[in-house]
Amino acid sequence: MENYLFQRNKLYFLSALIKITLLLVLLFMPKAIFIIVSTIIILEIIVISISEIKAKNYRETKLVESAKPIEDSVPQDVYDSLVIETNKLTEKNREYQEIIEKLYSNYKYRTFSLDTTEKISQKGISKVQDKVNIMTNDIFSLIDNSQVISSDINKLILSVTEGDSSLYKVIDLLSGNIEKIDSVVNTINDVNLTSATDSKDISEIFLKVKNFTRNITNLAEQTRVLAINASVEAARSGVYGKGFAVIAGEIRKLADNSKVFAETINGMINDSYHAMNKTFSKQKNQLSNISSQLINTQNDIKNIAYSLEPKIEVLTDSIRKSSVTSSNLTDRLNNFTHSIQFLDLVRQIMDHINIIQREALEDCAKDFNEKSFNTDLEKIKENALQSATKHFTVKEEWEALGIKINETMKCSTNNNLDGDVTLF
Amino acid sequence: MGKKLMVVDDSSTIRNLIKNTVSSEGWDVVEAENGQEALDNLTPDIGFFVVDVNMPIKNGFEFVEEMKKDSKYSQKPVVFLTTESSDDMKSKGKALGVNGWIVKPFERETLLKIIDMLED
Repeated sequence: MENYLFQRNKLYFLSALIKITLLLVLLFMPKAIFIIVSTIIILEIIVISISEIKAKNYRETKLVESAKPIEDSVPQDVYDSLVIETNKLTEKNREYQEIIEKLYSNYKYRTFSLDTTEKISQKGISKVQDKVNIMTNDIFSLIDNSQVISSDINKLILSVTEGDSSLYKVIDLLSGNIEKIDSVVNTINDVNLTSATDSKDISEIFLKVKNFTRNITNLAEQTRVLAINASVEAARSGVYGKGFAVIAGEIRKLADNSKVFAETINGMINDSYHAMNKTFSKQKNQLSNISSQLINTQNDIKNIAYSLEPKIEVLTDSIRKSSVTSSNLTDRLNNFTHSIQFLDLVRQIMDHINIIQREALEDCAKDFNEKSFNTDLEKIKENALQSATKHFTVKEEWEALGIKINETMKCSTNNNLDGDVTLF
Repeated sequence: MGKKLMVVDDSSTIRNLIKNTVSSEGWDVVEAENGQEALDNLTPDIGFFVVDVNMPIKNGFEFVEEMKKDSKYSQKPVVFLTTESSDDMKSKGKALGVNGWIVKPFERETLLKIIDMLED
């Protein structure tokens, strides 16, 4: 239709185009020459226009004059009916002209509208793609980091719950130590008991020694008395008893010394007895203290061991949860990968819609130019379908029109691969 | 030097998605928007090709056909990753010597498994 309208006015367009081009060229000329030349051109346009109007009037007058003899030779009623028919045809022609102009206007409106929607959709798609790419990078990076952290935590927890340095091993070690402490406490108690028995035995020995020294003291006393009696008897004996008196004196001295020795020994034994008792008592207290400290330590270790066990359970549970979380993350990443692709499918479908509409309008323009108007609606529908489907690349597009495509070549099952996969 | 994989797809979204998916498996990714750009950027150290079918300028079939003419690339594993799912298209791909056909939307794990199975 563009050609149709263009041809109708092409001479005028051509003339105007040449003149505008000349004027543009002249714009670069000096001002005076520009005014002169442009005045000449304007005058020329006026003269040509007047000539054209005159020529048109002349042609119309000639046409009327040439028709006059025919008009005169035709009967009036025939002439009148011809005039009516001519007027009807002219009217019809005017109506068609209006329809064509409306259709042209509609076509142009759709073309401009498509230009706008294409620009909007391309801009929108471009923006969405940019944002989706940023989001994809962020999500993959986030999941990579999460998996690294999760793996580190798992390693840490595993090191705490498994192996030679695990907390379970520590608990075992602590339990072993608890038993060892039990044994040490028992040994201390035994030592305490033995010490008590030993202390008693020694006390008895001391008592015996004391009795023995007391006997020595008594014996010394008796010897002294005997020595005094001997001295008395020696004195009675006179000169003959002098030697005996010396012996009696020595015996008395010996008895006195024996008594002193016995008392000294007794004192020493008493001191030793007290010192020993003190030492035994001190040792008993110390051992009791050590024993009670060991029992306290044992209880502390027991408490630590008991409190560690539930904590290890918590850690073990964390591993399980971490593993589940990791699996959830992978699932979500798979879902995300899927969703992003659907977004891209929508982009493709929008591209196809734009192409299909563009082609439909181009076909429409072609029909106008070639004046090949098809009025068979079924045929038009079929052509539109063919024209659209040749751009289809997405399964959903075929599904939208209820068309089934042949897709039997799938062999993913043998490889346990999810999705629509074919390996050749 | 890491393994190299070429992604040929006119959608930056898909290229980026594949890049992120395979990077975690140690692949360096070379991207191309269409078959012609892929041919212009071919290097023998590329060990795997993931190619779309419908692309402007030069489509996936044309790219693979031209690439496989060069003996350096004739044995390289190629997988088509496309929305096309018809037998006709798949047969055409098979005739060109491609190793696999994955219909979009693809499963992340599936793509990784296939690359693992087919890589040199």
